[in-house]
Amino acid sequence: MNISVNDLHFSYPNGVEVLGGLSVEIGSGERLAIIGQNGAGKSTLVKHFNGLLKPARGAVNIGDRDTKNHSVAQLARCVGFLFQNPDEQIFKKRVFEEVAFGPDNLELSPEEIEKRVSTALAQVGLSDMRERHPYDLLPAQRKFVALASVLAMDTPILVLDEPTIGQDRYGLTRLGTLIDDLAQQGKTIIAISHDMDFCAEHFERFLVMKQGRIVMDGAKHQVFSHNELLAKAYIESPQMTRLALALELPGPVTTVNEFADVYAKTLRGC
Amino acid sequence: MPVTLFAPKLSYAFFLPRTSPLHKFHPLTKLVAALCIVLIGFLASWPHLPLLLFVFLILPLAAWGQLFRDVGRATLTVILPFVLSISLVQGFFYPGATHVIFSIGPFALKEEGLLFAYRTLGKISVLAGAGLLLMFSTHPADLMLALVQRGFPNALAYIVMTAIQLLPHMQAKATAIANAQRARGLETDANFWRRSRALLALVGPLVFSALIDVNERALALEARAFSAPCSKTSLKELHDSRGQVLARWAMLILLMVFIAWQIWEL
Amino acid sequence: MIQLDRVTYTYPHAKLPSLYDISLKISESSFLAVVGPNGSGKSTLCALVAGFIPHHFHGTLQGQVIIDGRDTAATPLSKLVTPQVGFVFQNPFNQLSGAKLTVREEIAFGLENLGVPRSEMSQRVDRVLELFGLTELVHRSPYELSGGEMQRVALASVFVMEPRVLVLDEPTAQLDPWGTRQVFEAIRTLVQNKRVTVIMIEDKSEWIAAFADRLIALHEGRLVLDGSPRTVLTSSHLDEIGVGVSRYTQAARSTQSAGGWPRDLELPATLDQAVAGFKRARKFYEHLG
Repeated sequence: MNISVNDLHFSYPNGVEVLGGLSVEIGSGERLAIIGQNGAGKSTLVKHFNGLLKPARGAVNIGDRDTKNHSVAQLARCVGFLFQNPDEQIFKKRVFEEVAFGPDNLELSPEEIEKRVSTALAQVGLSDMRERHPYDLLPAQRKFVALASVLAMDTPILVLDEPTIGQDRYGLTRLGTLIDDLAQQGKTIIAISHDMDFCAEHFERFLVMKQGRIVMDGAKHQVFSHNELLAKAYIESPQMTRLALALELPGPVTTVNEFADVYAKTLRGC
Repeated sequence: MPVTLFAPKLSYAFFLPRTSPLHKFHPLTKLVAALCIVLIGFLASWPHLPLLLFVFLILPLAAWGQLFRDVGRATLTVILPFVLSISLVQGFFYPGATHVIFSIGPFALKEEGLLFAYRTLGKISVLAGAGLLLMFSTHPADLMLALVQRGFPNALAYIVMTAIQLLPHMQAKATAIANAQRARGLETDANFWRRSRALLALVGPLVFSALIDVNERALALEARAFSAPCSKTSLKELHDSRGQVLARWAMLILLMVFIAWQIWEL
Repeated sequence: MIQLDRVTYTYPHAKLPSLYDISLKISESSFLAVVGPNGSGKSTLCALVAGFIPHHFHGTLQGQVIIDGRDTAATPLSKLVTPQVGFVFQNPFNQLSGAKLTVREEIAFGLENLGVPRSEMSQRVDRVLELFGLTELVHRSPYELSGGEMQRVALASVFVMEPRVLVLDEPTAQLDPWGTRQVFEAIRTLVQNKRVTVIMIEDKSEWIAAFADRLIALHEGRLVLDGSPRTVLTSSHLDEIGVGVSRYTQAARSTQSAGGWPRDLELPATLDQAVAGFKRARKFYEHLG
């Protein structure tokens, strides 16, 4: 299922224009990271994908559905959205029920719901927490509960808004593995994140935004070789990129593995 | 949990800053004045007093405070919806009324009813006018400070201030919750049963996250010595004067005299 | 100066203790960083130092926490947390008093509660505003600030009370990179200007390595590592307890066997350390070749 954004304009009620004519095509199964400073319009853009916001001008199409003609609940069948704050959606007394909320709204059979919930909980590693009260869990675990509740809806497209905030190494590893698995299943994964290192390790395409416009759109290595443009968009490169630059290694280098390869080659060349 | 990246404009919307002499008065002076005007307007037996108070006392004060248009407009907004309904309801159905002025079919508009409506509208104007004038010219922080300096419980003043400042935040939270639930397939415009189930999904997270916030805030307050057992000082200075102190006493005495007079007249 | 003596603490209604048998001595004016996975007891440790445990959170406390000779369990909270111990929380928004309309008043809030006379209050607030670069924000509402600005105001609001100990519980966890940088620069200012004892929970290794004298790691309520930042941050035990070493360390480790990292040099925790080490290794190779 493709996402097609055509000349998207959006302004807040006070008249300030937030998105000034964006166009982008996101194909099925892509792994896209949207990066940029606060206020660049990243959240505003992705909220158009599930209809939370409607274009003032231009159009957003999910598959063949124009978001202007569909409700958020309808688009929720195609686009799963993970919000930043799980405490702004959790309300059930058991983790199981909370994760079942989404599938329940899709009016699936109880057997199907049970299957989906179990699968989702296994994917986020919370199967043994299914009977617990969500607020007995740590905040970082509640984020995974929220993620499970989105996964249980089994949508072809997933949007993750700052999924890495508050996660420790365990959480980041689990999240990363999950993203890789979901991508292998053919799902489209779109994430907004400030964690360049995490994005470099799990995403292939990067959309760089600044002041409501797209300033760069391309594959990972292409984007991270344009250091000046990134600096202008106030983006700090991944740690390995900075290291490689400081050592004047042939770039671009974005992950530890890439660094090790490139560095080893330069040593052999000595 | 995470800070929203777009902070909505969270300033108090009822206070209208102006460089007027009225704004410079001590909050208690304005509070006492408003109370006196409202009580006199409500307790007066003469039916025309409320309206006269509004036109010849409240509006000129508003003009002095550069708030004429604001008070006038806001009062009209409060009153206008009621003018027609109160007049008609009381005009037609005031109990024990006999003097008919005008009739349409079986409905007779009676003088006593209209008089009652006139008095009620007058009282509402005084209440709304004085209240709005107080709110527009006095920042609640200043009012709270003035009250606390006179013995009002500190904790209560704190609650009032945070309630005012956090209201927009709660509204933003409610919207965020609604968005999150809709994004999980919750239909918010279906039949009654669906909508009542939706209520828990919308209110539940609001309550839970409010409770978590409250706990965090309580600790943050401790970290700012909120429960220190000494008497508190204030960075902000409220300007008072002997003249204002005397004026406040004078107004209160006037109020007492007026109440006594009205009771004696009965 | 701060001493934890065989402390074991269990929250009310919890089945297991959050901290087991912790003994720790923190010397005056030192900067201690604390790392550990979620749920390892870091925040509990901070709450103990501040006195929130046992005064606010009851639960079961064994052992003693002594600050400047005073047992925190026996001292009332109002004598512990500010003036003694300043506390900065993770969530910038919930830390604002909510009762003040401008940044200047917000910073003064703590001093007002302590009954400091107005003229002294004004001076102290102005000094702190300048110290943390907040003078441009004085008249703004605290709620209109960015996350990084809010945290700086929170830090200033606590620092103005002149505590002897400053506890920071993941102050940048919810901030973006720009906010993070702002807060750490503010902490740098603080450390350069005043001899406070700082205890900070933080996982951003580059910043820890830049400020901390000492680093401890917690795992499931126990103190498992204790040493200099570089040593602890590059220890292989960090992977075992779920904290993980930084990518610079990983990069050095992965090339070490091929001679990519000098054998006699400690593994790097920061960019600068990494650059220095790799350059040295490369020079060595160039000499060989």
